[in-house]
Amino acid sequence: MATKPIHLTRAVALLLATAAAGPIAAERLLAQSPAPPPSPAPVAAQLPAGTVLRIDGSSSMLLTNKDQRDRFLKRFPSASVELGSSRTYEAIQALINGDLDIVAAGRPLTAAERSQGLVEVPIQREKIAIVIGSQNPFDGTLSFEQFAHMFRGEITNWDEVGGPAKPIRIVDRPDFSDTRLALSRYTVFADDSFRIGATADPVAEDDTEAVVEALGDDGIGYAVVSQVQGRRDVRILAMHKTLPNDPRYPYSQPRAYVYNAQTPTPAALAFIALLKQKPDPAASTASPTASPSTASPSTASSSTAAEISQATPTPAPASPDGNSAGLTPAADGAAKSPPARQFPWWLLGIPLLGGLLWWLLKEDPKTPIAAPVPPPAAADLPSRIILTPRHCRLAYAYWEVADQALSEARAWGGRDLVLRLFEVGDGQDMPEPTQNADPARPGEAERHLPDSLEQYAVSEEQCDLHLPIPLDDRDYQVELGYVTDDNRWLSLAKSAPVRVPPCPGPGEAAQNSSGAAIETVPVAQYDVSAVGFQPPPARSRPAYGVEEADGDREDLGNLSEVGDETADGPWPSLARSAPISMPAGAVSVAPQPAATAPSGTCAIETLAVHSRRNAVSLGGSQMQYLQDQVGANYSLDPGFYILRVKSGAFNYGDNTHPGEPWVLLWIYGGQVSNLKTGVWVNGTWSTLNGYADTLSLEVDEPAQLCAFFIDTFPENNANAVTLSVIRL
Amino acid sequence: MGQHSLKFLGCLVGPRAIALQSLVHSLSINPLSFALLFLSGGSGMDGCTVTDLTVHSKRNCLQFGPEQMEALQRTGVSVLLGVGTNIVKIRSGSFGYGTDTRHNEPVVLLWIYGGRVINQKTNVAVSATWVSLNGYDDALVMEVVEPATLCAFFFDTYLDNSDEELILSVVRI
Repeated sequence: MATKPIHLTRAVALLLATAAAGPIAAERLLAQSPAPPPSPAPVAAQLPAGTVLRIDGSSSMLLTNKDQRDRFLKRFPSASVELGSSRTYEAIQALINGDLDIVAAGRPLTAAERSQGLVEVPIQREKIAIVIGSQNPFDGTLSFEQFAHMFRGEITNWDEVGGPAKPIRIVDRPDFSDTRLALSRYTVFADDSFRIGATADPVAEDDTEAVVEALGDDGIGYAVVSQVQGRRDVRILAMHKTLPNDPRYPYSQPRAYVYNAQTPTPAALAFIALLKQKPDPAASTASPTASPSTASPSTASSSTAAEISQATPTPAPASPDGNSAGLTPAADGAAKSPPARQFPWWLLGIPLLGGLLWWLLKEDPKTPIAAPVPPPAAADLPSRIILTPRHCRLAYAYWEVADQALSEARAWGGRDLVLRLFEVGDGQDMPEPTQNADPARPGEAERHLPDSLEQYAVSEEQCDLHLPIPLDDRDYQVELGYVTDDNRWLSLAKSAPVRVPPCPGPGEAAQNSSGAAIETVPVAQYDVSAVGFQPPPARSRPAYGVEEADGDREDLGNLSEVGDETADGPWPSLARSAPISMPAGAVSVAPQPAATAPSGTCAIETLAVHSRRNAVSLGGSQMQYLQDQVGANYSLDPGFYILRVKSGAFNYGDNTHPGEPWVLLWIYGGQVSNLKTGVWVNGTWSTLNGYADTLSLEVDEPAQLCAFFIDTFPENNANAVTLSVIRL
Repeated sequence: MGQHSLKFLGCLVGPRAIALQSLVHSLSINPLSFALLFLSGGSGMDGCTVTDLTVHSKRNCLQFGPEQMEALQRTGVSVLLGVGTNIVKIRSGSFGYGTDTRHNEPVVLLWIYGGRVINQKTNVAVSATWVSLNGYDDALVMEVVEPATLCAFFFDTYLDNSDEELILSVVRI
């Protein structure tokens, strides 16, 4: 046994270092209110003469409002628009009182506001930039923790973050600011830590111009990206070397247009309908109401329903149909050649951030982390649906669709969420959209449908459904999507084809209770240590890491279909199911008795877990909190130990459930070796699962054992596990 | 947390510990059974200590906000587990906290959620569970009753520039 260095010191150093280098991704709030917009209505042909559309709300929506105003006026040239930018709360009160038509909200509606008949139509979130003045000599990058410390006045001088010796001023926004509210909800400001300190120098109005003017050469503030990007008098700071054009950049703000669905004005209905209307590339020339002479290319394409699907009001590359998807309002003259420091903002349109905020806000606080059913679909992951045959007469469909995708589909006119089950044969699945309308199926003109099609209405809260199988021994697929008012089909996700097994004939063994034939295979008959772990010749499947996803990129490609249009109408395919891993990597296993091994095959999926990309960072303060305040601790002196769960179980506070005997262990502070790995380490993680599970540990230097659980809502947990630490 | 110490006959310290761990490791036997057998034989040995730690589900519970859970699920490598028996093992690779890869350990944490699974070690049907895999011989054998998601990840305190990779095999039988 080799002599070990002083690892306690190193551990402390690591923890301290962590305080300044937290996770890049961990702070991201996904969000988009999934509150269903009203049933889509066609845009009014015209509005009464003298119609005035009154819009007010968050100042963070200012540029977007101008953009939408231009679009509205282009469609209704006889109308006029009054734009204001006061405060969301006050605007909402005005909307309720009938003094406004539309509120531009920089935050989701509250339940109380919704209960008064207000309906929000979410549009894409916008990133929040951390900014300094152009004269500020600081040229480094900040971590989220550093910014949080600055905000609270705990870091007071730029030299503490690598800049010149100069006091820091926090140019904060007023507490009614939607941008401030969005920032406060991030984890780095959790636990009531979103508070300013003595270094704060707030502006009185929620006005980015005021913030920029106040920055000087020593201030730091924040604003939505569209209001600061490209300016010469302000610089956007990288956070963890990540700029807002990077999908990992976390800070963003929800946005929506709100109208009163109980007493909507014609102007409001026209505005909302136009907002949700897909851009028509020919509109600027074909519409009898359009005035080509007034249609700036940048505004014409920007003021489209793309506002719902595009990420940022900045210039964007040409869309497949050749039109810019940029949203820069021409009135501001922002549609200029980008400055040298400008980022590829169009990238912001790629990662469609999903609707977790809604999930976070409405989640029953007691819902344990153990049971996020359905698991929230990460916004930057594709939607997917999996079809699993339970037996010859029943299949089970399970899906995950990001709220963002649902919102967008609704914005495209999706009305009824439907699950389709159809038979496929000879490797053929549901045909892709074509321009050849099938006259026999009105409303399905975008593509031919298979002859055997079963449709089931599902709710947006639903994530699974058992489906009766019409005929056994055939291949089936399912597809989830919306049906629009005009019977178009907006696909959200489609499964891979799966084979439904044949029903047993007379005298054959019946299906087991679950119907899953594979479940009849006794696990004990397999040599676990041998199955499937022969070194394969090569990775049979893409690894599920950052680069996993050539498949994901295909999905992104499909996402880019939003905005494409066929002659028969739009086909905003938002997502396709990822291919599931099955027989491609299948290998044979040892022959099993026929009665218990009906398939005789297994499937191997290989996952690559990367030491950095797939590491969840626990900040230094959280680790310290875990070690000092949370865990049941025990000092391990040099020697040999065996640990096991002696009694008890953990059930997330659900006393209707027996719970599971397990515990999570963090062992740190000295050299230890888990016999299962045989490696001397300074820190290691392990679980004990079940009463027969043991951890055999050799301790070479004094170390600490920290035993704990993880839960999102531990307040009403009441039971305990007894962990036996046996020192030999 | 309550701590209750019991004294047993028999002990093994210093070089004996090394010999024991080598023996247990080489024989691949249950260390606890071995220890109890060893202890029961006990002649000529010193004391051995059993300390019971009470790990309370509330007081000793690390609260993860929904954002952190979402970040975990997004950061980790996820795969959908179909209904049936699923076996998860580390096939190769390791993870370490420092730059010296000699101290890397084949260990990974697994968060299984979103369905209904039975870890054969606990034999309790749950909607979610946490499991670690430690070493190349460790295996998670799990009956998936309803399709669930397996999320493999590490906990780290400092996201350095390490570029190691650990390969997991998920076998569905």
